[in-house]
Amino acid sequence: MTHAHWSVLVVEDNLGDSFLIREYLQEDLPEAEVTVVERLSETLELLEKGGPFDIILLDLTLPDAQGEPLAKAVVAAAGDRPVIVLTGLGDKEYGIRALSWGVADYLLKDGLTSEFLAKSIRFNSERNRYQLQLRDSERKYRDLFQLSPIPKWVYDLETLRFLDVNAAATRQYGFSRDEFLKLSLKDIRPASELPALLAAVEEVRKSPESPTSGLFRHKRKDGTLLWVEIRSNRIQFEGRDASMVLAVDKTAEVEYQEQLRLFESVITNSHEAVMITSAEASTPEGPPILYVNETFTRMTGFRLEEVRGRTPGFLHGPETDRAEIDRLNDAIANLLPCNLELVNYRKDRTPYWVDLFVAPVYNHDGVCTHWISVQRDITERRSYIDALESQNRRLREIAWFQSHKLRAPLVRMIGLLEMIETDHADQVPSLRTLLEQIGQSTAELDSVIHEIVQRTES
Amino acid sequence: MPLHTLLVDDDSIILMIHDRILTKNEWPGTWGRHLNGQSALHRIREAKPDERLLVMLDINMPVMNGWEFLDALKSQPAPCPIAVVMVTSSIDRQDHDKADTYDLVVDYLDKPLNADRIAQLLNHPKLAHLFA
Repeated sequence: MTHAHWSVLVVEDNLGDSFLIREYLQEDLPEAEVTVVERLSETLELLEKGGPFDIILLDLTLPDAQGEPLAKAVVAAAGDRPVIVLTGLGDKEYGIRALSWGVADYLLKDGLTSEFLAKSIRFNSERNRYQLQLRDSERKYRDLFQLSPIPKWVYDLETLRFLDVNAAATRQYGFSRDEFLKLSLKDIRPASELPALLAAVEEVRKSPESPTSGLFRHKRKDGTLLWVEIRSNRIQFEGRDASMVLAVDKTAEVEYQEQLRLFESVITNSHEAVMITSAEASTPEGPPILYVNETFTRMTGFRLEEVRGRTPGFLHGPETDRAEIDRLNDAIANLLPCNLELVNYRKDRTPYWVDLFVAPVYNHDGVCTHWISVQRDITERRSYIDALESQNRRLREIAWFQSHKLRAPLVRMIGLLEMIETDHADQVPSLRTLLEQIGQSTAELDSVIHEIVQRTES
Repeated sequence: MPLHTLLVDDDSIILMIHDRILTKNEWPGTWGRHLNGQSALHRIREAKPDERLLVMLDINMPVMNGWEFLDALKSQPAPCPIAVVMVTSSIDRQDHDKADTYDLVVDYLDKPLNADRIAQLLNHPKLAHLFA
């Protein structure tokens, strides 16, 4: 790779040496733009100002600084830019030592040729650029690991200790990074999960290439448990056999699934018949059936396969109250829940009384997607009510009988007695007492009838 | 101008008793006996416009019972002023309540009529226009 031009900072107080360096560069690196300074102070000033230098050539004996402090000061100020030191022949050992202060290379002034100088500048510039790229890509990968919102860690496949964790992991588990690095995988698993952990680790050890995954139960610092989906890849980390792990929190999903399973078991095991119909696929005949539970099958004789896709109207029959069906259809049209009692018919066409509760089910957007209906066989209760009602009817008949049939002749007697009393009692003196006694008896009989009628009415 | 009272009851003994009680208590105007609603209705249809009619009506009768009679009278009103007093042996509350739904019915009396009940009718505010 060639540069459009090179900007070289030469720090050299010996005019002869700096002249020579200029000459050499002119010869073998003509595209180089050379700046010469003679003091450390000038050098630091230029670098601080952000001088656009690609490389720095540094003489180690300047008027205001020499040797190690000088080299270290320039290296620090140069930042990412390579510093090449120039030393005299007698300073060969010194030049070698300088490499430990962070300089990129050393050149002996006495054996220096234009070709050698240009080669060193090119070589050190290119190597520096490559190192910067490497550092940049390392930093990017490090950021991917550290800044990822998904908890990640690296663990030692042999000891199971954590070698590195990212910030998301510390947030998820409640351990600080330092705490994590003292722990092993066993410390974030409930005791009951340890066999599963060891089996999973064994699987990772056996499969050096392909990533492995699974759903596991993990434990936070505070002891609370969570469900995580683990994906792990085998990697080399600082010379150790290790595995990099992504731990995605699936607690909410798992709990949601468990809740769904729970609800499902409520419906499946309910003593009441449950029917789910599709509101979206509704036709003029009604919404088609998607599901019925086993209690429905026991109640009606119809199995799910026989009723799926049909509208619930096939359950109705001659004794089904049309007014109640209209009420139900009204409720469905207005998306309202509805409770009613109906005569429905089983598969063998025997009628049964059913208490029906129907309610709309809405999706996230508030659109009614389904109807759920819970049905209870109330035939026994209805026949009990029917028996009570017929008994009441009989009682009323008795009351009516008392009131009309029994009372009519009594009323007649009362009227006749009064006539006898007013017309004839004076003619036969002994009759008055007898008539009074008969009158008392009829009045008594009348009051008994009144009381019976009253009791049947209350 | 004259008041005519219709005694409507299928029980002829009651009719006889009521007849005598009216006489004894100097009931105003004339009266006739009817064994069912149909017979009473015929008499009402033939009434003259200047007549005033009072019906003493039983409920349970063959041919046309008290309710049917009231319904017929409602759908085809009498040609003259008229009022109805239920006089019945029924002490059933439902009968009493049902009678109240008819505008023509001004009172509901227990059988048999006696001096007290006659006096009650003679002083009844809703019947005053018939006795005037």
